[in-house]
Amino acid sequence: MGFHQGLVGEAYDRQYSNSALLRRIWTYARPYSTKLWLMLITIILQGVIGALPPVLVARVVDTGQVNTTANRLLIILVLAVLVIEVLGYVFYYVLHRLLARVTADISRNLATDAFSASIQQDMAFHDRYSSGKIVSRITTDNLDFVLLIQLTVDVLGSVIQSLTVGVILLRTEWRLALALFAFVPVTMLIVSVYRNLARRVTREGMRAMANVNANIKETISGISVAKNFRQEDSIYQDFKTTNETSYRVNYRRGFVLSIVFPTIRTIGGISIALMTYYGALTVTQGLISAGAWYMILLSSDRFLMPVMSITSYWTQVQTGFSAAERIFALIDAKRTVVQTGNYVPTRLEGKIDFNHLQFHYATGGEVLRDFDLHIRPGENVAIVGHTGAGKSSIARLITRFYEFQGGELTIDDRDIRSYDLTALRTHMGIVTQVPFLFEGTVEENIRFSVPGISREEILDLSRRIGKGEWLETFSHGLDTNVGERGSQISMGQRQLVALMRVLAHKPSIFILDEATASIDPFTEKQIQQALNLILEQSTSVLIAHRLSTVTSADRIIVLAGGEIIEEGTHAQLLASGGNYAELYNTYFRHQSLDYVEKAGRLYSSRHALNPE
Amino acid sequence: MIETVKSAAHEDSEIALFKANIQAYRDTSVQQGDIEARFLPMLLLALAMGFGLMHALLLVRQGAIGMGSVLTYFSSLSLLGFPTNTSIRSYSQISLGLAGARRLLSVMNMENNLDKNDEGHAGKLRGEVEFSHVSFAYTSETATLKDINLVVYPGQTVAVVGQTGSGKTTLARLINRTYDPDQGSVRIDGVDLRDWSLDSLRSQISIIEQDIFLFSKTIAENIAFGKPGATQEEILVAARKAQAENFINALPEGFETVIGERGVTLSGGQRQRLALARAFLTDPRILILDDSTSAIDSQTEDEIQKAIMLAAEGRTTFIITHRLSQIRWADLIVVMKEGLISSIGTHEELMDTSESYRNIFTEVQ
Repeated sequence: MGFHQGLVGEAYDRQYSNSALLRRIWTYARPYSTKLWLMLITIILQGVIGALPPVLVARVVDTGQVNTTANRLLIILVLAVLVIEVLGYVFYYVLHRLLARVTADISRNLATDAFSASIQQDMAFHDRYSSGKIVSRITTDNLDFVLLIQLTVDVLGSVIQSLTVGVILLRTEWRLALALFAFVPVTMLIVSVYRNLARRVTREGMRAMANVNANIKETISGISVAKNFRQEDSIYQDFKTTNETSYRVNYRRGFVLSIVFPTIRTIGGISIALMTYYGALTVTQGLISAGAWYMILLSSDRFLMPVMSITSYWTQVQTGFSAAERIFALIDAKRTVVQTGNYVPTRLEGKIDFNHLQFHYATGGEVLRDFDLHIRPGENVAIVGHTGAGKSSIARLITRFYEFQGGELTIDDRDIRSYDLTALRTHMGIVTQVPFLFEGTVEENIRFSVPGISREEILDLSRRIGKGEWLETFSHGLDTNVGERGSQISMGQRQLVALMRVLAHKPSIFILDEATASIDPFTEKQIQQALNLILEQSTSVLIAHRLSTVTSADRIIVLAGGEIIEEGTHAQLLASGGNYAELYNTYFRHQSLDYVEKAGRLYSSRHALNPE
Repeated sequence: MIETVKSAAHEDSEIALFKANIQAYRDTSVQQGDIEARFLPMLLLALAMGFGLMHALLLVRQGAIGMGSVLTYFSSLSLLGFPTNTSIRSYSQISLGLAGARRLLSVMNMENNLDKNDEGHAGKLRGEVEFSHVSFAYTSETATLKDINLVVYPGQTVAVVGQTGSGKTTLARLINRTYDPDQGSVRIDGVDLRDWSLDSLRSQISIIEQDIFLFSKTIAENIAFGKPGATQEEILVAARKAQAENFINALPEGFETVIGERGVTLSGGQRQRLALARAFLTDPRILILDDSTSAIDSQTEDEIQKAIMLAAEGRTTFIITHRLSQIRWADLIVVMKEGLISSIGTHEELMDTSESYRNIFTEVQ
């Protein structure tokens, strides 16, 4: 298996051949094939009977003219018109109920598949493709595809009606029918010219509207600043200018859009006028009956309207198909992280070894080249370095979010690829910069990884951190609801809950990507305590941003350009005055109490700070 | 986000959650489809066509009208088809429009419950701030601030410390009368805020919010936002005092660089210094700084520290902060906890009296 190829070789968007695309669409449609057949039958029936009323009325006219006493036939014809009209409604009703179900089901299945595929994709995928674009595939493209189904049903009905009308017309009076057919290309031309025009003004209108929205968004977000400096008037003037531009553009758009139906009706009107004139001529010459003439007049509308909808249908087909293509590409995108085995460990020692490891992200240069790192069971390693040194990559490889291209990564002397991924991750406690909390209570969130733990045990653990003071800051203690993704509690509290979870879980390996967000000093202190407790129980890999975290590690790895350039304890490294000392001065110095005391002294003599 | 889901091996439950949501969406769209399918005007039209034709023919039989009238009549009936079809969409659009109009009106009719009190006390502010027995609640359920008593002398620097939700920001918002207290009173220079002219009061108080907002304009325009006529020289001095001059000059077009969505993105520390420059230019008597940005590196921290020290000079300054260094040099430290002032005093006093305060100034062993 070529991992290298796996990472860079697959472009995620692909071209499906039309037949492949149709087959693929069919796999989603097949479960509903009974409904689809029913729909097709309904569509055909609806199209055919839709063409009938003019024919029947024409008969009525002819019958009425020839013989006013032919009551029975008249009654039958009239009843037939009534029945057909009511049947038309019934078919419409049945068809739309079926359509609603089929489209909703297909759309749901597509969205579910696309969502599952994207959530199961590895991180390399999510780095490359923004979540916004993935979301739009799952939602907007899906809607476009559903719209295609709905339009297809409409257009199919129209085509059948058009064909039926066409055949009836030809059989009734072919000369008039051909005259009517001559309007088809004219109608198509006008509709497509008009559509281009409409598209242009709509795009301009939307752009102008987007400017207004952007202006409002900026103004509302900046309202407190504006009020603070009493500049409400000036931002209102800004808004007015943008809004007036939008008004002008959209006025024009409204005008263009509102002339569409008049234009199209005019074509219909002209065709009817011509048909009326020549039809009347043929009637007076006795070529066709008055009824047939009337029928052709009534039918011309039923014939031309479908032609218009077919013309606008083709662009929709393209939109719908490319939407389907995009969704399928998302579903089919290849994963790069591939496991070769499914070993399920009962417990892990926590030994981690990188041997001659090579790694690069899908885009960009080599991050780790011939990288060696050996972490003993139970050891706490802090990784420090400038941005881009490769710190996060190391953590991401251990958590197996990314595939590496060469060398070896073993956990407890077993290739990391030979583990069952879910089983492996359950032996890891991973705390990311934004900790994962789900809607539920604090207690449920802590219990998440260890379902068996009792409330008492959780309370015991809680008391080990700042005498349990942190729990008092929650309105309902352990029973406080953290809200969706933890939104109801503060960032610091979220970190505490996430660390409590690891503390309860006692994983073999603890991976921390420390948050850089600033947290009040009281909570910060408790986070440090929780962290120190975890370090006692697990092998830890810490991507540290806090000075206190770095100093509490057994070993500090200084990383630069994907290589280890120094290692040792905080005291050793600082004393040697090398790269670590430089990093310390860049990132950690201001967190030391020394610095804090100096700031205090500086203030007492702050007149010395005057820049003049 | 996806990384955290994966870390927690939580993919399956996320998929389950999505499935539940999408099923709910599916059910409502089927419901909508059913309602649209039932569209009764279509049935009425069908009946009208059938019975209309029947009635017309009855009239013909009685000799009341001729066949020509029947044709005219039936053609006219057929014309109803188009409006009936389009009205399917119109109904939902009309109700959407009405709902939209209702929301618009509710915004337009909202009343402002702070009176501007134009005739109130106006004058140069010295900067003495006093809270006496102040309580305040955003909602009737829980009070955000409870019985706050606090005296700050002109020119003092006050550090407000506490956990998220302890009431720090609310405390600050009462000072420039963003809100009025429910009980007790806030006085500046001995005058109750409600007796001040709002304009005079706010023009001498500047707030730098936690999320610093900059407009999508040039840096110079952003700095001069509070003083539209400011000269180049004034802007430059303000930027210099805010320790922002160096990074501004390093930008592609210096002070004329456009920032925001259509321009350069600035870091939290840089935004903060621009906001400080903005405040230097308007020279308020009271400065309120909600400082929650974390400095990534020590040099930025040094610069921000220096800028804030300069800004605090010669005016009453409230700093809502997480930084130990700022707490360390403030004249007065207010520790908030669940809406109450849990301890107050100078650094030395708090080191003596408060155990939790002492804790944060000790290394963990």
